[in-house]
Amino acid sequence: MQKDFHYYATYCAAYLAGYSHEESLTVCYSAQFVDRCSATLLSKLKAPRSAATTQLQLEMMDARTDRVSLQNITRIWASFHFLPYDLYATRKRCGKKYLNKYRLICKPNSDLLIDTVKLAKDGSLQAAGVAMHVLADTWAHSYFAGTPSLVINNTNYHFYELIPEGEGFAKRKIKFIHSTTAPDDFDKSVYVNSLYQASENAIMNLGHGRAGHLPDYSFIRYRYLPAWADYEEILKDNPKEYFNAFCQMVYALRFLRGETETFEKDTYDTEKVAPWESQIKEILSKRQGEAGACQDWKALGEKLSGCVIDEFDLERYQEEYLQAGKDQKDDTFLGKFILAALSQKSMVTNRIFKSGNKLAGYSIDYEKKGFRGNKDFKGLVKKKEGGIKE
Amino acid sequence: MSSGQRIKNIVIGVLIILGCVILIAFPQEGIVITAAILSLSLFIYGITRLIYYFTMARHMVGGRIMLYLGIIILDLGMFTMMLTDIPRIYIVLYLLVIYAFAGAIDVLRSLEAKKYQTALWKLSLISGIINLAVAILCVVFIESPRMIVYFYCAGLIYSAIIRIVTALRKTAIVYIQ
Repeated sequence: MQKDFHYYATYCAAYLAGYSHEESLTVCYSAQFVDRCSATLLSKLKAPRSAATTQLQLEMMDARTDRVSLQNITRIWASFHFLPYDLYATRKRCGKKYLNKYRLICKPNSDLLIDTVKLAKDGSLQAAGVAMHVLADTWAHSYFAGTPSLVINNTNYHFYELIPEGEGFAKRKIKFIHSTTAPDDFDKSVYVNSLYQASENAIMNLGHGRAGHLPDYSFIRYRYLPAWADYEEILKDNPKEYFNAFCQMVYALRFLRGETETFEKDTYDTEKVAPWESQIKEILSKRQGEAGACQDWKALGEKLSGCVIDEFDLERYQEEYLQAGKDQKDDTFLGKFILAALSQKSMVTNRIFKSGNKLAGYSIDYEKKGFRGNKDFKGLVKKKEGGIKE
Repeated sequence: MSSGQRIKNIVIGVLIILGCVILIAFPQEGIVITAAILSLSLFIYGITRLIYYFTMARHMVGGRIMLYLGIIILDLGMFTMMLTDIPRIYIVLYLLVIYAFAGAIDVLRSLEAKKYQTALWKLSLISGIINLAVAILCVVFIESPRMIVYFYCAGLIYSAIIRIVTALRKTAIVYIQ
C-alpha cells in the first residue's frame, strides 16, 4: 500500500471511527510515517536507529546478508509490513529451515494482528497509526514474507492480470521489467519488479519485490503462482481486499477509542462504512496510480470532515524533536511514534522468537531477566515505569 | 546471536586475519594459495547449492533449477581446483568486480544520506572512494602478484573485522509485557 491508503484512506477510517479532524490527522500521519522512518532519517534526528520501520532502497542494497543483518531486516519488514500469519504452521516433509521462512508468510486476521491492535490500546494516537499501517498491509502484502527468501517470495512467468470487461474479466499476461526509473504501464500490463537472484537471502527476494508494486495497487486483480504454494494458483482481488482492510481499520480504531469492548478476527465495521461504500469502492476500483488515488481519497476525507487535509510533509515534526531536551523527546510527536515503533518491533520479535524461530533475532523477557541487549529499547522501560505520558 | 555463534564468529574472524598475515608475509606463494582459495570457494558454493536444493528449493515452484545450478558450479569448482596454474587475470577480475561494486554502492549511499542531511554521508563517501581506488589499483598492478595478494587480503581482513565486531554487538531485543 502507498500514501493513498496509509495517509488519506486512514484519515477517512479514523474520522468514521469517531476521531476528531486533528486526531485523525495524527493517526494517518503516523500510519504513513511508517513508510518513511528509516535508519538514515533517525540518524539525522539523532534518534534510536532501532526504531526504523522501513529501509531505503540503498540501505537495503548496502545491507549485509550475515545472520545479524538478516535479523535486522526481518524485524523491520515482518513487524511493520508483512505481519506473519501463523508462526506455528506446518507442512509435510519440510525441514525447520524451510518452515522458519514459511511461517513468516503474511496474511490478514492473524493472532499477531490481534496482539498488534491490543498493543496500541490505551496508547498514543501515533501507536494507533502504526497499528493501522500494519493492519492495512496484512491485506495488501498477503502471501509474501517480510524476510529475504527466494523459496517463499519468488514468482515466475505465470502471472496474469484480470481486467474488468462487461460482466466478467479478460485475462492479460503481465510483463515484468527491471528498470528502476520506468513507470508501470497500466494500459499494457507492463510492471517493474526486482531482479531474479538465485541466492536465498538476496535482498531482491524480500517481500513482494518479485511481484513489483502490484500488491500496492487497489484496483488490480491478478492470478499467479507463489513460490511456496506447490503450483497452486492464487487469485489476488485487491479491490475486495482493500475494502475489507478499510472496514477492519474502522472497527479496530473504534476499539482503540473504547467504543467496542473487544477486537476480534474477521470482523469489519461495514455499518459505519455503509453510507460511503459505493464511493469507496469506486475509488478502489479506479485504474490509476498513487497520485490519482491520493486525490480521490483526499476529496472523500474532506467531504467527511469538512476540513482540509494537509499534504504529508516528512519534515513537519522533525524540528520539534530536534529542539526538545533529552528528557522531553519522548513527549514529542516523533518521540511517541518512536516508542510505538519500538514497542511493536519488540512484541513481534518476541512472538517470532518464542515460536522457536530465530529469523528476527533474540528476545529477552524483561520480567524474567531485566534489561539486556540493544540499548535503543531502554525507552520502553521508561514508558513501563510511567515516565512517559501517552 | 547465541553465545556459541558469537564464539564461532570471533574464532573464524581471528583465523581469517591470521591466514591473511601469512599470505601477506609470503606473497609469492600467496598468489597460488589465493587461487586455490577461490577455487575451493566455488567448490563449496556448489555443495551448498545442492544442500539448499534438498532442504529448501525442492519445495519451491521451479526450484529444480537450483539442483542444476549446484551440479554445474560443483563441476566448475572441481575443474578449477585441478588446474595447476589459474591465469592471474581471473583473480584480478574477481577483485575488480567486488571492489568496484562495493565502491559504487557506497557512493550512491553517501548521496542518499546527504539528501537526508545525515552526518553519515562523509563516511560512506570515503569508503566508496577507497573501494573504487582499490578497484583501479587492481588493474594498475595487474602484473604484480604481491599487490594482488595484498588487495585480496585487505578485503578479507575487513570482512573478518566486521564479523568480530558483529559478534560483539548487543543485538537482543528486550520485551516488556
